[in-house]
Amino acid sequence: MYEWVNLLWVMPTLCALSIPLLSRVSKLLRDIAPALVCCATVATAVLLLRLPGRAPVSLKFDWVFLPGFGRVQFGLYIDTLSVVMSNVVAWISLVVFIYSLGYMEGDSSLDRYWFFMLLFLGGMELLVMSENLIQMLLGWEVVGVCSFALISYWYKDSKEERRVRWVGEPPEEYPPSHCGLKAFLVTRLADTFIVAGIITLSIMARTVSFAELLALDPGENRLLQATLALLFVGATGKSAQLPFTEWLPDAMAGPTSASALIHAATMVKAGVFLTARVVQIALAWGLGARSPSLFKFILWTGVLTAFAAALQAVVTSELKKTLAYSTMSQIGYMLACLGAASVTRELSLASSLFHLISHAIFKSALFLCAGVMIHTVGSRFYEDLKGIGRSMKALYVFFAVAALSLTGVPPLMGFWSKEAVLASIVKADTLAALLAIATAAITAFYTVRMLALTYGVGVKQTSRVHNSLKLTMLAPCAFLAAACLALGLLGSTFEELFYSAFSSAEPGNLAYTPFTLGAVAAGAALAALHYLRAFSFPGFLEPFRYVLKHRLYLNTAYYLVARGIASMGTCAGIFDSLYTKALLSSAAAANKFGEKLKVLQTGVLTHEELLWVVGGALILALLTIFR
Amino acid sequence: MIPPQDLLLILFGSAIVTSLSDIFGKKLGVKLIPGYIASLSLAVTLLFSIGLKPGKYSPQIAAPIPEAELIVDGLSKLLVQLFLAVAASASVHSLSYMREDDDLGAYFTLLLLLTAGVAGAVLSNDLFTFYCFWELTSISAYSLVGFRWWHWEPAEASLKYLFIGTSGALVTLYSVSLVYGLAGTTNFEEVKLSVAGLRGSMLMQVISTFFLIGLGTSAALVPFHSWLPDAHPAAPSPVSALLSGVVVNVPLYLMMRLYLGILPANLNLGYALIAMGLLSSIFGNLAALRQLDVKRFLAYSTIANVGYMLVGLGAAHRALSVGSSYQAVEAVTGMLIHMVNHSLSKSLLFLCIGNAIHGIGSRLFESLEGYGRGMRLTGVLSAIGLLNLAGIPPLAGYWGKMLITVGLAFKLQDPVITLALLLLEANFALAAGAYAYFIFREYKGLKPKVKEAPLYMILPELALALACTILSLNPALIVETVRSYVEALLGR
Repeated sequence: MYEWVNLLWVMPTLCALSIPLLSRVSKLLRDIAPALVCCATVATAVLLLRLPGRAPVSLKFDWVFLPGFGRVQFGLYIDTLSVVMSNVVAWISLVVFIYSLGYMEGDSSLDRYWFFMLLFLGGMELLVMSENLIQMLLGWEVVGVCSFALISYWYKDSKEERRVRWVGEPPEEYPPSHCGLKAFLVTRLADTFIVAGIITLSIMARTVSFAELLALDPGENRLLQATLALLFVGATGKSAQLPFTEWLPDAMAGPTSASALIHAATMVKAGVFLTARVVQIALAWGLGARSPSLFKFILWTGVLTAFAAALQAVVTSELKKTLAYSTMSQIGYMLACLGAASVTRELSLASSLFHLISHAIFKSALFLCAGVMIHTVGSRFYEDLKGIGRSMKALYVFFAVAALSLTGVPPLMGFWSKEAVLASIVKADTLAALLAIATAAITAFYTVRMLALTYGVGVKQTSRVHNSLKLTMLAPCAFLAAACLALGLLGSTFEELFYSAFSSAEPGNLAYTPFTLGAVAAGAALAALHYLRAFSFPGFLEPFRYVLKHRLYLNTAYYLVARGIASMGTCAGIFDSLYTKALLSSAAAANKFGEKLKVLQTGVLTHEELLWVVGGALILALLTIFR
Repeated sequence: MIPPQDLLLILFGSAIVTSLSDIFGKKLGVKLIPGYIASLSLAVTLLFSIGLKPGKYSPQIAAPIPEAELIVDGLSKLLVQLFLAVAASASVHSLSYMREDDDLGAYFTLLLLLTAGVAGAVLSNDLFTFYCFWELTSISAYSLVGFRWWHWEPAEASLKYLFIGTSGALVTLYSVSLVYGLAGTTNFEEVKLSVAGLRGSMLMQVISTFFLIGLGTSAALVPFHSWLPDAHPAAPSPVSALLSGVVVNVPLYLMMRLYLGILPANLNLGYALIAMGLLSSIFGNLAALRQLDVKRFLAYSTIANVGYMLVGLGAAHRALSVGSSYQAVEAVTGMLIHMVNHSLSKSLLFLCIGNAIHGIGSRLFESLEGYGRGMRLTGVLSAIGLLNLAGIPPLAGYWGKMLITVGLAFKLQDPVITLALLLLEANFALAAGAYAYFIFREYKGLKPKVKEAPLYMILPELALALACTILSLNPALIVETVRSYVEALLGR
């Protein structure tokens, strides 16, 4: 009865496959079709909104047969989590697709762009709707490939466009193709944990279906509990949490529209989605009360990443990189909130998801506005972007609204969701909560810094403007900023509506608001002092700045490991050449021996009859002696 | 439901009709009439063979020995169908290949008689009937190899084949007479009961060895192989296809029936079979490397492949004598599957090479190089045959070799077996390399000025390549069928 839900992932995938064909028919059709298909996807997702509140629906079709395991079923699992995720994905995609019409106009390989964007949409919807882990992994890998392809979209790595399309500063400056590969490899590394988790689950629990896992009684099986940790570690890879953080800042080499969709609003949230599923399962197994170590692990991973990423956002000199670090930081909040579920249970799930929605809106708005700025000025560095805000007033307003929502300024949407998240964390662990509130202060700091630098305080002349602004680019920014504002004004109403979808949850209270608002105000004030009043920081902070600027040396560590592996490859190459030599010489020996054998075949009948008789006699003698 | 004697009667009858039709053909000026009749009757027989009804039949065809008996079971039916299919393909191919020759009545009659002999030999259930049919096959084969007797090469090859083949046949006949003297019968079941008590006796060992020598001569095992590398290049290509695809397989089939179940099992004989099989495959593969003549290359490769099958048989014999029937079943299944695959792919290859030889007019590698570029379809078809023969997984050729390995690889504390395994696998690898080099040479060099072969040549090749492809896509089709037959045969 719910088979139509499959349209969610089928439509974009089919459209992706037909892009080369559409492109032959007409370029206009090729550019319009994705937006239309995305509208249809949004409509399907919206229809799903009627469902939450009821019991989860699980559709199943027989899919593949695994030896020793049985039949894996292909299916959809429709519950609040998947419905919310599918709506976020569809809506943000629609906005980004419309934005792309302007942003990517005139690019020479748009077939590739649209193909991967649509394939991504299909894969992401498949991921969030899937009924079992194996099917989810399929979507997971599809979006991974699309992410790789879109990060390295400008794979020619042309040096002339270094200031727009590359990422980082020397010595850590990387071209797009390198960044794509890096993202792919690092996320692959984490995926190994998911595969390990799936294998363990299918052996230990004999099922990989979410519905069946929720209904399972694990008893005292420690291995099954460890499996959930494996899945979580896998999830951190996609969400760029510690220690898999290093790919996301470099992923900014891709087109900004792709960054907005994939590396801010949706794909990086796949980790949150999977963690939410893990938490659901852990709660259903009663792990919350019995062994909360898994939850502690999730909580601390989230909080530490949120803190470390926010700190790095403070020192970066590129606009998009600030946003990337901020994404990591905010996802850290969501995970920390999920980790608090051992205490607050369903409430944490709801709060985390609430923050996910609001983050998807304001972060994609920030990216889209940043895209316009970078597009206009032709550089990703703050030093070139100075004063751009003054020359593009309307855009700057949208940018500022979204940025304030990120900071958590009431009454914007970010305020409500961040309060809910912090309330959950406070109940679970006080130390973590302190760190989280400090992170809020740092968030305010780097947001104000970002706003100040782009506005160009103290800069007299406005930036050079290369490209004119198009409506298709401005309208999506306006729409998203308006959504931040509107949903924020509706604040508590929306919150109640949303929380009621999670049956047993009530909205978090605002008891800790004074603390968080105080922290935000302190951070913002400090930034304002520094950037508006030229207040300088004491010198002892310089070493910290240095370490942060060098990405906590985590990036360096990754490259050290990679170089080690590469030198192992060199060793294998030496072995291979030796082996080839041995093979060649044995082949030569065989050839020589074959030549010698020619003597046996004289072709003279008497010789051959002699051979026959002697051979026969020998065999007869041997077999009668050794019988 | 058709009794086997009717099948044989159709073949003999059409042989007579074919030889007579030549007279009318010459009068009418249509030289190929015997060819059409032979091909049609082979195709019809192949269709009829589907309806063979399992069971035992005692037609009074051999008067001096009243108990002459034919048997139809899964295995003999499968092999008869396989050999009829190869024969039909060769016959259709000959319609184009032999177009310029005279005396086609004799050619196609001999072809039919050879096929009738093979079918009878596979279907026979007693040694003497087998021997009669086998002699019919051999004599037809000698004549077909020497069909172009006015050239020195076929004449010499045919004479050599006659001498060596007859030596083998006489040893076989002597062995049959020993069995008859010992058991008073040549019927397989009765022989089995009579000689069961003679396990390990000198006489039994002599009988087994004589069968090995006699049948090994027809199967071209080293050191009884020397007729084969001369016979293959000298014979017309369709006849080479029959020699490699059909003739060398039948004595192996009989050896399988004799050594697994009828003659008592004996560990040393198993080792001897494995050793001879390895000797053949090593010799065949190494000698093939240095050949300048394409057909000689393929001939040596046949010796090697027969060697693999004998290793499979030896492994099964060893497994039976130490009482592991699981490995015995695997080894024999592997041997038979390899027989089927080798038969299909080797005859496909000989026919394809026939196209090239027909088009270019030389058998030497250096003149044929690059024929795959001139003759696209032929090139692809021979590549299919070569890849299948090389046993690249998951192609059909892989499964036979794998099952032979499985059947051999147990009780590895025996150093002889470990050594044998290593040698066998090294042979597989060496052969795969040689076939890969063949494919490379097929497309190497300049495009020779040659047109694609005519329809009659391509059609049977397409059919054989299709069979290889189907078996590769669904190997379970044949593996499971043959295994069930083998289990029935070994009483498991």
